[in-house]
Amino acid sequence: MQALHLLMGKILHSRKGRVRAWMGTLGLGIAALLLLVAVQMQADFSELLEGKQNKETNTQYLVINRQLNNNNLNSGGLREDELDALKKLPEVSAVGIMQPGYFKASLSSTSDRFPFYTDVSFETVSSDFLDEIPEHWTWQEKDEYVPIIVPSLYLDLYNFQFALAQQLPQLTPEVVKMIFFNIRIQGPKGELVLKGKVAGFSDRIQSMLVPQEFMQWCNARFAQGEKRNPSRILIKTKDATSPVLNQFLEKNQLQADKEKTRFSKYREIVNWIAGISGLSGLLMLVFAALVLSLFIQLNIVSKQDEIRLLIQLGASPQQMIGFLMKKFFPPNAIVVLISLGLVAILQFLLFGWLQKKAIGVSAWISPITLLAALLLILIMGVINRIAIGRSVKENPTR
Amino acid sequence: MQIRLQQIIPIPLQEKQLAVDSDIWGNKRTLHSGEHIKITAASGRGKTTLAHFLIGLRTDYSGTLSVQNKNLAHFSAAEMAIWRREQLGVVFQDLRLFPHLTIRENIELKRVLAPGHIGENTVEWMAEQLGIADLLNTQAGICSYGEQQRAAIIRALAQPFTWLLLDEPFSHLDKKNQQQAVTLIQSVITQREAGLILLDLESDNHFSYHQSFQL
Repeated sequence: MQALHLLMGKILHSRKGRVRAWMGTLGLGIAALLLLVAVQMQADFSELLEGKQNKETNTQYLVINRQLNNNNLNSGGLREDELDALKKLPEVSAVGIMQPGYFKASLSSTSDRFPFYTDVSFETVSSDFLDEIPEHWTWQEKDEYVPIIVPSLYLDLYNFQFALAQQLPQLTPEVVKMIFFNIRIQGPKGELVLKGKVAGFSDRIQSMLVPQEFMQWCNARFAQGEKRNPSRILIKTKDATSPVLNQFLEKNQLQADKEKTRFSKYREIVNWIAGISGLSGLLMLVFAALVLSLFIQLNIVSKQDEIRLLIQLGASPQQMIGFLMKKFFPPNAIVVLISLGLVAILQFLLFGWLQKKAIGVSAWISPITLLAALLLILIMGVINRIAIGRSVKENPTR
Repeated sequence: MQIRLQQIIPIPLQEKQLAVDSDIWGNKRTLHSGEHIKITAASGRGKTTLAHFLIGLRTDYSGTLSVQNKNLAHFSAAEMAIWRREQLGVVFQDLRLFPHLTIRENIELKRVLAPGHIGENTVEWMAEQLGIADLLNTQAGICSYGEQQRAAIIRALAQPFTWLLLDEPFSHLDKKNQQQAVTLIQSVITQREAGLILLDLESDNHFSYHQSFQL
């Protein structure tokens, strides 16, 4: 077979259409590069969002509430259908209702030596959403005190603003947790004074939180009116920058922590770039395939007499196709493999660059990119085979 | 491998040939395996046309041409390739060598299309028999017609065959070279027990023919 292909190579050697062949091959190379880069970009994104290395750092909690404007003041919280739609978003892995207290509350000192008084309001949320669950995070009527979680920010405000301004002593979290105070609850149905204590601090939720049991008991005992929709919710998401999530919030006049969602715009742009890269690659691939297919046909047509004589001498169509595939297909496959190699180098460089920024992507190209390259080679093989088969068939065997 | 011609008449020559008394056109003829057939005809009587019908290059005829009871016109591309590559050795009247290949490469092509039949040494030996051994590495295009014709004869013999079809195979050869070619062909077809169809302008005694026809 090798000797036959060597002779066929000599017989069918042609310099015609070389420029076109080079252009086609270069086009194929660029197309393959663009396509594979687009695939690898998506793989890197997925790894950043879902990879083990980044999973913990990527899980984010967003407090979501209605965007208030002049038209929707006091119009109620989040509706059931909005909550259901939110739960269905793939980016949202859990939704927690932040139940507010529908009663007045105030905190005051139990000691005349350190008098203080402040009106407050409470919220509660499932302990699944807490960044730190205090040791005794529950409540029963017989309990000695009500545990409260306060935002760390409050203590920071006290220590680094209020204490300095009022010449008061700074307090560590441990000291604060030892202080008991009075909680006065007032509602249309009456009032009650209980003991309270700071049980923990939260960096995640900027709200004074009480155990769910306490909130349910208070709302049942002191609140008035019908059942209301939750005014705020807390969602757990692996991608706070997801354009889909942010578009949903915007469409439903909801808002979340802008600091956490602001990268959504950049994400959208990167998605666009990846999309354009992929689309350009696809278009270039179509043109490159067309040019290469025309080159093959031109090459075969320019050697029609020789092919005809080979067939007259007994070369079978399969032998001709086998030889022509061997002549035209390997350069295409090599070009795709070179493009894959370039993508691998780019990925390795990206890995090094992102590693310095403590962002973890793989140093190697993803199996999907490898699969895409193999698929591309297969497609080129099919295109080559069709072009060659067609051209050989056009040569009369008689 | 039997070849059967049944009322074959080339369509382009239909009216012209019908008027002529031919042993082949419009008649039933059976060419039996291993037979030596001589077909003689003056120029323009369709010798090459008949050769092309037998090779399967043309099908513009009425009647039926069958090989081993199968209509040659109905051969698939793959069957036709096998017929030409393994059953029918041909020396074309116009030689049909690749001019930019060497004589050796032209012969080699046939040898490797159906590999495992004869060795390279046999090709060398045949070339020596016909006096073109020193031309084996010369481009066919720059060889004389006589040299090319001898190369075409060796090319036909370099493949397996049950029939050898020669279309005016000695037209460019002198008596001495003709005799050498006949001797070589005779030895090969005897060894292979192959049939021979020789199309030429005039009758001859090159081979002992079983059947002779006027076209």
